[in-house]
Amino acid sequence: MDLFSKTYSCYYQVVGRILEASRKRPVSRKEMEELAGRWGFSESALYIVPKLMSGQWALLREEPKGSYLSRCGSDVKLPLTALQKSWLKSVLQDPRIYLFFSEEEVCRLQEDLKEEPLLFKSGDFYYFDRCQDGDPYGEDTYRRNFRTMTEAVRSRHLIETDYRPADGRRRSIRLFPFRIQYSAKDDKFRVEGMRLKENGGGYSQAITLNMARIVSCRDAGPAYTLPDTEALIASMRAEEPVLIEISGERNSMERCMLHFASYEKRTEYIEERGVYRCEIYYDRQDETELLIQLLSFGPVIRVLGPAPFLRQVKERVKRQYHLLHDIIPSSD
Amino acid sequence: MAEFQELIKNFEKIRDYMREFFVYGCKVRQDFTGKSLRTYDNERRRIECFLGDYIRSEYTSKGKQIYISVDSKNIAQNPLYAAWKAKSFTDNDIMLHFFITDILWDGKERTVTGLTDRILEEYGVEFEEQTVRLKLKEYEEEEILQSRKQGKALYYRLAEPEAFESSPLYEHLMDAVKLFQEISAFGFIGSTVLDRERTGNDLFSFKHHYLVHTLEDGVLNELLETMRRRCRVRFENRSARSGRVTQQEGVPLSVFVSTQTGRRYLCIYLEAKRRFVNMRLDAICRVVRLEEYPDYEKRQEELRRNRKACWGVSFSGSSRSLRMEEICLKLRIDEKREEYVTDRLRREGRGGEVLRIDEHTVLYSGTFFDCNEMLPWIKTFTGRILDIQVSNPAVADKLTNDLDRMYQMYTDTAKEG
Repeated sequence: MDLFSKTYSCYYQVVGRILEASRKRPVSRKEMEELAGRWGFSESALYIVPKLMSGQWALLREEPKGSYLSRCGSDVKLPLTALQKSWLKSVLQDPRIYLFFSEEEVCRLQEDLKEEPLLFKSGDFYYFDRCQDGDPYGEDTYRRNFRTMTEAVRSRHLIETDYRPADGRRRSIRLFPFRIQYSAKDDKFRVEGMRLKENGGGYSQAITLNMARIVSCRDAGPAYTLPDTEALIASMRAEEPVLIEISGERNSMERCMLHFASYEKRTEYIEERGVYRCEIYYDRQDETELLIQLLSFGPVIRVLGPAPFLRQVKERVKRQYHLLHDIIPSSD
Repeated sequence: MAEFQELIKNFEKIRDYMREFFVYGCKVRQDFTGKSLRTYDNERRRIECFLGDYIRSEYTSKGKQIYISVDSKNIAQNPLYAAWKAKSFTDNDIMLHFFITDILWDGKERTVTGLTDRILEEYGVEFEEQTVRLKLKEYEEEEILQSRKQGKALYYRLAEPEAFESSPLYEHLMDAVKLFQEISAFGFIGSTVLDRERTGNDLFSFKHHYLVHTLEDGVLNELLETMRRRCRVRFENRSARSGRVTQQEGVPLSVFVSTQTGRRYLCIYLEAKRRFVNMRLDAICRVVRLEEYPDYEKRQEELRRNRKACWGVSFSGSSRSLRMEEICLKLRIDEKREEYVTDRLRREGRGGEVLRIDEHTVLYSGTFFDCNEMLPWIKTFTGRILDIQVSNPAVADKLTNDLDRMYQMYTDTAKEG
């Protein structure tokens, strides 16, 4: 099966939307350009709209006053392709699918797709550095909590949870969950949300709950005032990016760029010194993780700032030197 | 001068440029020496078209650098999927796509002649029957259409929707697709399922998420197909370090994935050397499926046994005389206040044994093919390492040397500051 197919073309989707709009009433050039701008690539309108207006793609009929009606009368929804069905069938083999369905439901879906070949099998892949304490996807309580949370995110409802954090002290937390985060490294789901104030009057702070630590949860009704999640996400950012210098030794540039590819970053080559400087933007809650990731590169990376981050690096490096060389650290 | 087009015929063409802009992002026009500057300009413009919101540019002493800037934690869908949705097509392709599906939407079946005539009648466009026939055949292969033979005539109709599409399960399936389009192999296919439903991911976010993997999916598909058929394979391998291109042949057995370094590897068995070797997936191109390999299951079983002793992707250390290397790491971890670090050792230790010696000390030990691969992980414990013993002494030497260099580096910084 060819992955790179015209059927999934962004242009087909744009034209499909233009045809849909122009089936109900004539559309203008401007409207077509807006649809292409919204659903296409940034220069798609320049290519698609003239083709449609000139009749080179004879899909529209010109109406008076420079407007156009679709020649296609049906609201077609394309059948699922062989590739899409094979992919869905492969996904149904993943143990995480039971977060969405019961065993019986998965069997029914698999039965519907039994004629399709698998695109891949879970066993084709070996995740050699994934953490060994992934979430218990097979547990009923976990599945139930996952579904309640997913539904709350979709319907913008509040949630009341009985939560057991790492310290073991159970507590009740009311929150507005706005998305569910999956970590490929940890093989865990976390709920990102805004905690409600104890007195119920508005939101207090951003909160992240480990799905596996939720003892129980229940829908607490609609959230009447929605927090500004964009602002919330922005507020999680550390004020300054970490600035590092990469020597290039031991293929460090390539290793480092790929390692930190999931972070937003900016890199520059400093010609006179033959090194690279890279700014890595991160969320405050990920600071320790980023710190130890940077330490894992050893001396081929040098952290330059910001000062509080650099101080932590220096403390660890100094403590390490003392440990290995059996030096009793001075009181400073 | 040829007119610029956003769409592309060949995915490979854009793969390297997208990777360069996304992963490195510090190269300027003159650094792209492999192709003409004109090609660079076109590819750069194309990527700017695909990823407008994520493109950044700035002037440096070397010139203008363009890069893709994405925080993968805060996106609903991998923006690089755009490249998979940019295949070029002809005027006939797009017209036939909409004409054929529009006509067949009534559920009736039609012959090639019937469809060709109807297109002329309904839309005023005349096509050769052969052109229509080829498009019908193409869509039948994609399972968009189904055909039925009656006498000598072939009748086409739109494929029936799947039974589950009209069941209440479908909504949940779309929720699952919102997740798996990002966490599963070939996720861009999932994104096309969401496109079909005119919906997007509004539920999930993703951490430790390597967006660039999608660019290797074409190669991955060919390799998995070869594995499925239990065949040998030949491909070109381009070294990330030297850029040197070599031909490789072997038995593809598995795909090793790192969730931490952003790398994926093809694990192959080299018959001549009688060894397993991992090769970077992003360095592989021009895959050719060869003949069936008779001992495929046997090799897979051997690999399953062997991979338990891999720390990462290496099946032998630098001290070739030793089959396996033993490591013993003593760490300072306070039992009362820092037990989370011991938990991390267990979680990330890949089967190594974790033993608390006293209230301040924990011992980690294990046996692996190549302990050199463990060094980056061990260095994440900088500030806690009391002692390291490795049967291959070069590994311990390298660690202590690195830690000393780091001390020099940061104490020098302190003096400078």
